[in-house]
Amino acid sequence: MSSHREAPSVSKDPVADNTDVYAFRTPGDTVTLIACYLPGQSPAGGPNFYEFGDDVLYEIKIDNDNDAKENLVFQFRFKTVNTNPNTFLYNTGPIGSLNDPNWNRRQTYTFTQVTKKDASGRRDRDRDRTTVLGTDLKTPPVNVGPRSTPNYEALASAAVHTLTHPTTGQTVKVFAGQRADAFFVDLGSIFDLGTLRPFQGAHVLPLPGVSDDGVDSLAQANVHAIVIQVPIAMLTSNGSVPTDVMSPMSTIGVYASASRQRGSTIRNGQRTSMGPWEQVSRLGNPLFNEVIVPLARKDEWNSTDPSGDSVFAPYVARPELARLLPVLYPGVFPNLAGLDADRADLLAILMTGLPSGVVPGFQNYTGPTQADLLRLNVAVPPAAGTPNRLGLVGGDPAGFPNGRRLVDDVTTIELRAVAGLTYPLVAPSYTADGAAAAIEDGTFNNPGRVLLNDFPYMGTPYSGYSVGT
Amino acid sequence: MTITRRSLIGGGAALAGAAAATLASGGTTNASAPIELSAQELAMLDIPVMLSVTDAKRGDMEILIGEQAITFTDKALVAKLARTSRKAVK
Repeated sequence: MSSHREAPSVSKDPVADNTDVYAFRTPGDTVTLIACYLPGQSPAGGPNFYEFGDDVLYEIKIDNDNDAKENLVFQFRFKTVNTNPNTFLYNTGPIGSLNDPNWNRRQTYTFTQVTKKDASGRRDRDRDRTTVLGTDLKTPPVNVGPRSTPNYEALASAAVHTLTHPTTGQTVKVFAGQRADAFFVDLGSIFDLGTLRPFQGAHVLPLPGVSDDGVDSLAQANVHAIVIQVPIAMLTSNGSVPTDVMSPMSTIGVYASASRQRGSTIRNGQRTSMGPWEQVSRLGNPLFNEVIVPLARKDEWNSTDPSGDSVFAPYVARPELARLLPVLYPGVFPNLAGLDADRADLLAILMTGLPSGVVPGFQNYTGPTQADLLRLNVAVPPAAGTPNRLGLVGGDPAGFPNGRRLVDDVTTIELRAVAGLTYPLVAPSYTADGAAAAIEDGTFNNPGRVLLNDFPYMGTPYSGYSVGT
Repeated sequence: MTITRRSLIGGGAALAGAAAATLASGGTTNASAPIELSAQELAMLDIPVMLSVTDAKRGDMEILIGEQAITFTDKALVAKLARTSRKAVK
């Protein structure tokens, strides 16, 4: 999956497991940023339904001066309360509102902006500046079922908070809670020796007679999402709304993380944490840690900052998957098999952004510092019509790897890039194999996947009562 | 003062109190000297605290308290911790 249970340590700590990050332009000169956690939720999660961790620091980080270090951080801290000490139930009747006394187990959160001391425009550079944007913000309940949460959409809508920035007066929207996972991937097939079901007849270990249809492993899974919508002017280093796609000031780098305090104890059933925050999970580009970084270094990667990612660059330059494809699909990737050079295309896409001159009229270059950041050129307007699921590779510069939209088929995009489709961008004499433009896992057309047209854009979570029926 | 494995790893204020007292006394420990904590010190340690030995050979330790880590060096205290810990692993 994009980053669901992608590393040994965090796979045992789902509350802190950052699964996906999205960043895309939205109406009104805004950007929507989404960070998802708590992967693979079975909607029937009772009696202890899924929730954010009170002992986890969730953050969305923005680099806006091209040094791969965050200048702006959005922090989220949750607080959980039981309102009824005499029941084992999550709710003792239908939950009709976010104040309903039937709802026993509730979460609220504090939403804080931290402007780092080295950010442009700062006069007081001695310390980071913290601005609380909202306190006691309510999350919705999980989608238990039609008797417990009969009008789920109304509950979720009530948990969309529109805030006014106390310093700038800018409007910020925020939502935190359960959502249908927007990511899609044939996990069961891909991790069974790299099988892509639509092409399994060409696999070195064919299984005659089985279906070629992709199976979305997340088709009925929920996640917990933090979604914010902020003015572009709040994200750029000089407070502008860039319109020049080719300007270096137009691109921001985004990643999300989860941190736990260094020390913790358990006594009398109570866990207590103390000490500085230590990052245990992070995510910029989808699948980076999942597919690029070797298993033995995944935990290390999660604990480090993107600005130090040059140590992982060799795994991007010579990706293991590019060596595996010709072996797993004999004769299908002859040109890829013969490609013995550092993959400057992948290094640009994933670690520096694409410089000008590679794709006509487009760039999202953030300088030479190699870092796994999701880079969004905010001067590129949203797609005028139906977004192309292949994003930039499909001729749609509003999509991945220019940020990432919920509709972007990032598994297919990255598969094709690794297979050599994008290498001619930097080496025109190289001819990509025909299969590089065709391979995919076949999950894009999952009919159950639902997105919303408006904030928070991710679909209503699957109901615990309905899934599996 | 009795140092138990529980107080060592358990977040109790006792051990950190000893460490703080040690720091206040110039970095030495004296098992026979009575240690009296002031009301202010007791109040300061009325939240979970953890002491961690980060480099025993150098005598480096850190106190985890709140969202901070305070590092200090006290070889004598590390030696005392080692001797006390030995009882726990017999």
